[in-house]
Amino acid sequence: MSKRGARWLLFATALLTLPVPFYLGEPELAPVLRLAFLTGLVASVFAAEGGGVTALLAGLGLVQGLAWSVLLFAAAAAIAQVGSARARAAIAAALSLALLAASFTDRYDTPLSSTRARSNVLQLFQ
Amino acid sequence: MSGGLRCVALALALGLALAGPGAALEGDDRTPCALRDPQRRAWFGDLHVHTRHSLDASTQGTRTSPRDAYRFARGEAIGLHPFDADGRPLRRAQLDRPLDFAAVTDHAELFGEVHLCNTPGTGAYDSVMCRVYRGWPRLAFFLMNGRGSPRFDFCGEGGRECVEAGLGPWREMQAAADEAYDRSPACRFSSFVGYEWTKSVETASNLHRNVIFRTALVPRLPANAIDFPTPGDLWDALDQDCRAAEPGCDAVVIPHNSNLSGGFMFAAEGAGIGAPLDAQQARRRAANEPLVEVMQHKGASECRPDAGSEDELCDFELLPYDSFMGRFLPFARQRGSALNFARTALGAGLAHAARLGVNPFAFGLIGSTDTHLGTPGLASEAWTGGHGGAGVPLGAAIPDALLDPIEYNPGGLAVLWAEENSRQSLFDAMRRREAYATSGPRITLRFFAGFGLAPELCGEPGFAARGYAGGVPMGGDLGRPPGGDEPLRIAAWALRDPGGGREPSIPLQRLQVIKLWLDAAGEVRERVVDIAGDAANGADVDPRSCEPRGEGFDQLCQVWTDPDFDAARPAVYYARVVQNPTCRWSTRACNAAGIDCTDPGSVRRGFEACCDESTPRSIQERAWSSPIWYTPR
Repeated sequence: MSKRGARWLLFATALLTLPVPFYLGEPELAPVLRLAFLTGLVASVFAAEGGGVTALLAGLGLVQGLAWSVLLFAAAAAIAQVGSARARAAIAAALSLALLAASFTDRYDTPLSSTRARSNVLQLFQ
Repeated sequence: MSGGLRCVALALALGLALAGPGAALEGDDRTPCALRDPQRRAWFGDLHVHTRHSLDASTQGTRTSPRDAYRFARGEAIGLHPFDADGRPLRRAQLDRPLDFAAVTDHAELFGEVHLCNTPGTGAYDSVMCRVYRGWPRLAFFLMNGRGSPRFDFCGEGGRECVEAGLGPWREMQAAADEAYDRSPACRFSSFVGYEWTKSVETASNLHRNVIFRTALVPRLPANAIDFPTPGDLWDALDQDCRAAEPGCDAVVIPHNSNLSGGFMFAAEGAGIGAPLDAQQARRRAANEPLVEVMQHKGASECRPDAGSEDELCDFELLPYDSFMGRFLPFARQRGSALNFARTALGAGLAHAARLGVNPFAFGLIGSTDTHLGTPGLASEAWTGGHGGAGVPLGAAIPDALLDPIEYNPGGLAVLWAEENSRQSLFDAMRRREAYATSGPRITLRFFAGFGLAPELCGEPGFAARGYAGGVPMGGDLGRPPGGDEPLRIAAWALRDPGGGREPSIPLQRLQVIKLWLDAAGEVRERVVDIAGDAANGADVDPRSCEPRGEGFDQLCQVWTDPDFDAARPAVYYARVVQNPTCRWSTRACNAAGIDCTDPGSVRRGFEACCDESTPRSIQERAWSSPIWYTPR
């Protein structure tokens, strides 16, 4: 597997499954994609209605989302540097599978959800 | 709502609309109560109740209507969220002992917005904000609560659609109160029309107040904090739209959660509180706000040990933050100002009175629940289902977790000394501050002060009659002794909660008098005196079984003569009675979940707070009387 391929695989998997702490009125421990989704909701309310608190939360979500994306991309790039193509493929696949497998357990703290305070990956956007 | 019910509601709303504001519910004509006690009785109630019309209740899943809330207060069982796919509630709750009175006090600010977002077919229903409200209610809670002024665009030009939509919930609240009021001679239950004015300033510092109306004569719309942003604006609105507009219309305003006010609730000046405190403002405040809610679901507001007091019993249901900001941003938590507490304000009131000639903080004390489940009076520590004030939605199932932040509690009760259980009699008790607070139990507490009280009052019949004859009851004012040098005596009498249903009767431990006075230098001084009982009675509670241990008292009564009374110095006195220790709600919830803090394996997610050392395992439930003021004049 190429470095580029490993990097993007790890980065995408992390965005979808790796729990990171963030704050949008409540602290959550959930993947960056959920943060992006919630930020999009807040931003859409801001676009329709304006409002200081809405702008603040949208900005907060944007900053956190960008920061986590940069960090995860850097981490994925660093991991993708190691070893031979075969070792890289094995590491990337193992890490991605581990993250994916773990994501099906209720490991995310999602108090902003209307349905559950703890969620798995399938429930993140309900 | 079923089709039939909807028709009835529509007919009622139409009838109200045709009859004009206030007319259909006008007056509180009633048959006289069969029971009327000239020495007055203690009536237990709850003056702070939220239902589905409050944004923060609706966004956590509460569906309880004002009618349901009054049914609950009168002793019926009601279903609570979460609900299954067929709309059946997964929880039920019922009071062991019905209340004597209650008021539904939904947040006035977003009546219309919540109503429109829940009503298909309205233009607002499909707005982005309303879609987020229905799909992501917890997120919407922050977005909508943080909005303030101007109103949302979906409210139309000048917010008119939301303002008008607010009429629906407001009329429903009035109709529910009207139906729940027992006008028969039995006088079993009194309901009050009310609402909450919900203003926060700076770091989400709480200036919230409940407005309770005397009768069914109320303004067309409640005065909300969006359009009436300062306490002075609220008082003006009540003067204009109630007292001046409708003969017979009157209201009291009851501040609450001064513990979350960032020091603003009793401040003399500051951003957001309106005009600085001068004599006129002080007079208006005292006239409008005869009571303060000192105990509720989100903590006690009596006093704090490190806020100028050495009273160890102040360490009771204190929150670890001083404003709502601290609730949601743990790193922003701070202990905050001593002015967050009623005792500090009572002392400050003496100093203001010396300066201005009028005491702005001459308030009595009540408790209530501030339930956001629509369950008035559910203040038992045995209730571990939370109250969900600004809470997290439970979702589709009851989570395996503590259902409230561990620093919260089940709340308290308001007790009014009134001749009968009617709106007018109870409202008069609020006006004259003959009221007290409990942290949940139904302790009976009488409190008199005067220069004509007999020292042997406790041992003889007619305690109340002789108390009224020789002094003033809680909430009263005393002037100089008629002869110039009579001793000031305090008479206090407390009876333990008799219990009932599943609610146990816990013995009393001690009865205290708290005195605040101005010294010669004009500084506020404090003294706490145990006048009866035994602080060292050795009583405690087994934290595993929650079985109380040790002896206590069925009743405590004492006439106490203030040895330091100085007729030249203003003072204020109130009583506090405490029970023997019992398990806190959190201890019961943690025990029920099998949490053993010596076994880390038993501490599941959601129960981590059970092992937080800063949370007490036991509490001493209590009651606080309203004060009696001595003013040399």
